Amino acid sequence: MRDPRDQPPIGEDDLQAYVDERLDAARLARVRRYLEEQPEAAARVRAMVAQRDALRAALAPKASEPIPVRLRVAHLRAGLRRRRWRRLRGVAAAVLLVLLGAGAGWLARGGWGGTAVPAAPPMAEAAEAHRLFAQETRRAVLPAAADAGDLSDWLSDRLGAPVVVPDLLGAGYRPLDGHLLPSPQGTAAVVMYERIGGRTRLSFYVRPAPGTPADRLRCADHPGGYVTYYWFDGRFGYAVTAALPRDELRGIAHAAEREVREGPRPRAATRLASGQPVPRVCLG
Amino acid sequence: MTERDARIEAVIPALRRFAWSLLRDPDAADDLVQDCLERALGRWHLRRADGDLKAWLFAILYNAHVSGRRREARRFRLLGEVAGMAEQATGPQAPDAAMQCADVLRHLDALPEEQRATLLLVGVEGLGYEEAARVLGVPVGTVMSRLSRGRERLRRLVEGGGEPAVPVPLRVVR
Repeated sequence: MRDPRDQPPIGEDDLQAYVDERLDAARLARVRRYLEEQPEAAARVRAMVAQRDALRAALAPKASEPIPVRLRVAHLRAGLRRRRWRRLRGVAAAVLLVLLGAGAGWLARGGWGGTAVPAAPPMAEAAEAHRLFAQETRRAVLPAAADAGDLSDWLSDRLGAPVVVPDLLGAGYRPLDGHLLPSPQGTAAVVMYERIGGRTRLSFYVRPAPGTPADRLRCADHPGGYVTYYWFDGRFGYAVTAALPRDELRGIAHAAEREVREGPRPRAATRLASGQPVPRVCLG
Repeated sequence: MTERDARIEAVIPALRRFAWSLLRDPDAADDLVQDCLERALGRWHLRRADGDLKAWLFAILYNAHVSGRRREARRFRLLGEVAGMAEQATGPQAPDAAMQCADVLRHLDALPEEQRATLLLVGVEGLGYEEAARVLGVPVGTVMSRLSRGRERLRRLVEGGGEPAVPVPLRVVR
């Protein structure tokens, strides 16, 4: 048992706890006595209590506002369920892509076995990824601004190696979002672009291809009018896909290939016109 | 509504108030609360069964706020580089008209964010020192010293009607 007189001397923490009404009875009595003897400290504590009450009063209306519908738990739960379902759909689509890729590889071996065509599949999965994501019209409101430079940072981070996402503003395309996909060689990604002032979608696809020797730009047609230009640089395979005439896409693909090879152009070239919707990285 | 949902919703008014006090922008505040609630629903299984729900939700909200601010800072920096609008973007938010009269809120804004959050959690939201320490991710001693400094500074602001020229040192009263 401790004699109350043996209590430690009054400290700043006691005064704060006094303001917050968190002292036990014995300590409270001791602090009260102290404040009676110390008018300056008492005035300070009174001011702090007044301040605390003023803050509570000023903020009280905010806590008595009705809860907006969008913050209702049932509403949030429904939103989470929808998102989970979309993710699941994404996984299903990715599995389909892998199967398609394997099928394309098999076709390539059977169809052109022994010719000079490189052993790598001709990036047919890029066209599938394009088809899948070009139809996605839902764009959530931006949590993060992203231009080609941001997307490069994001992608390099996700793929674990420096990757340049080409800035195609010069060709009239701005990035909309990026998606990650599994591929047999590791994480792949597709970045979707949209023609400024138009609806044409163009995608940049990249996946690891460590076993494939570097190869120049090649072209492949895919069902549905999609054209893919693809190339390899010894680390990754890249593809640019759109439903555009070959001649039109070739120029863009050349620009993309050059930028990926030489690195991004200076920041000024990636200037976004103000008023443009800010593109967004979608990690879903 | 399940009992769990009802318990979460009971904390929402306080979460909105805390978020608004930190951000001073009603939409941004509700975005933060939504972010917090979605994270909470997604991580419900990670919650300690004996833990206090209110402190847990506040901790998620505060963490989302801090990490969001880092992201914002980066975003504003990028936008600033691109469009030269950093000043507008980081300028003070216009407060709600209804709250404008409250001088104490204006003074509160002059406090460093850590002190502001501590004062709000303890003084307004009624969290205990231990709980506030858990929410802020700092030792209890730090909560105490932030409270003391923050309140002292606020007192001087209210009395002096302006920002003191030099930071107020912690006053030791013995």
